[in-house]
Amino acid sequence: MLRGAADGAATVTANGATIGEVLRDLVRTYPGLAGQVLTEDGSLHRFVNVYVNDDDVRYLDKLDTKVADGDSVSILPAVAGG
Amino acid sequence: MALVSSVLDLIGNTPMVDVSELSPNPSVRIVVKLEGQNPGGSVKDRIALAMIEDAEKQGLLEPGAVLLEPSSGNTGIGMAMVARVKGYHLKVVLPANVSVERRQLLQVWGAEIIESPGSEGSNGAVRLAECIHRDHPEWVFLYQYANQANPTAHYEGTGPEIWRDCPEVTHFVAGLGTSGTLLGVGRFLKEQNPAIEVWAVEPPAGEMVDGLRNLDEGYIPPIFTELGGLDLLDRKTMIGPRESVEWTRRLAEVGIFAGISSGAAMAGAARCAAAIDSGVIVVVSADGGWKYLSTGAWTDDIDVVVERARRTIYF
Repeated sequence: MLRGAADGAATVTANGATIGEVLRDLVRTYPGLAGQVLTEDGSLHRFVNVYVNDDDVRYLDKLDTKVADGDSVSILPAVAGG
Repeated sequence: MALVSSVLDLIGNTPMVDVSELSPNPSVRIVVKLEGQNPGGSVKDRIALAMIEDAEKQGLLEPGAVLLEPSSGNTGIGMAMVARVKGYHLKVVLPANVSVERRQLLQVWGAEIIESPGSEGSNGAVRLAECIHRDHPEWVFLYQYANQANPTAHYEGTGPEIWRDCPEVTHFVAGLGTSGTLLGVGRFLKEQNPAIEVWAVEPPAGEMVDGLRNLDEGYIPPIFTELGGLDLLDRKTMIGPRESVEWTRRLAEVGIFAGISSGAAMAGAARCAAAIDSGVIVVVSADGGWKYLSTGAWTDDIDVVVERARRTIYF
């Protein structure tokens, strides 16, 4: 769903020591993602879940969650089940 | 309880089984609560009964009333069973890409299926049901995602059962769908022992939500927000289809025939076990394996099964 804004790519590379830095780097590379992932005030979009190695960062240190070289970051929409 | 007067009396009081032989950490016990033992075959029987009886108490249900509900299957199936027993009609808004057995079971209990686009997942079913409800306000919309009777059923039923049968619990792991199980059980257990951690497991929102056009079509259940889910959960982890199927097979190796979301929950429990020094994890198996036989989950080549699971909603 976000791929359209990232030139159709499913996987991209971004840099940073925290999730916030990685996401801001991503938005610099793909300006179309601005407002999609981070809101205007710089917080995480309500309907976006961001995972570091499959752990949702909202339950870690949010945008301050540390990332290491080679970590996998997933950005996905919030979905229901049931 | 050998003889009951209604099948509805068989809902709840499900057994728990120790499956610690599957734990990756010898100092961590893992106990599975088998919700597939409910008469409609899933944990959702609990909320189906609770929501319908709550509506009856509020005087919302005339005899022969029509109920409308978005569901990826299990809630619809539970409600179809309860509605059949109590004499109501049920219309279920169901994503097109669920297993054939989910549709068949809805039909067993006489529910009408209204199909929503599979590519929009459960979010699409919710959206379509909301539209239909606007056009048909005379149909009773119990709406599991916003109905307090959903978490309450777990706060008053599932949670106390776990505390009664396994008071040594240190971690509770369950799938996140409506968030009702996690919120209800989680709150109850933390009230008994604030040190208990609550871990949510969810499937990746993969190809099945390619139909969502933008992020404003994302969805957070209203009960999750209202009941402070963000503060209640200690961890949320994503488990993909491959791990889910692998763990569904591991459960079968110890004799437990459970659905694919149970495999995901077990994978989450295993991750939890590996991350802690010692403890007792209680994990919810939401349903049995019966509804997934057509997916070949246990017998077909794993790569083929995983590809099928990717295109199917199993939460």
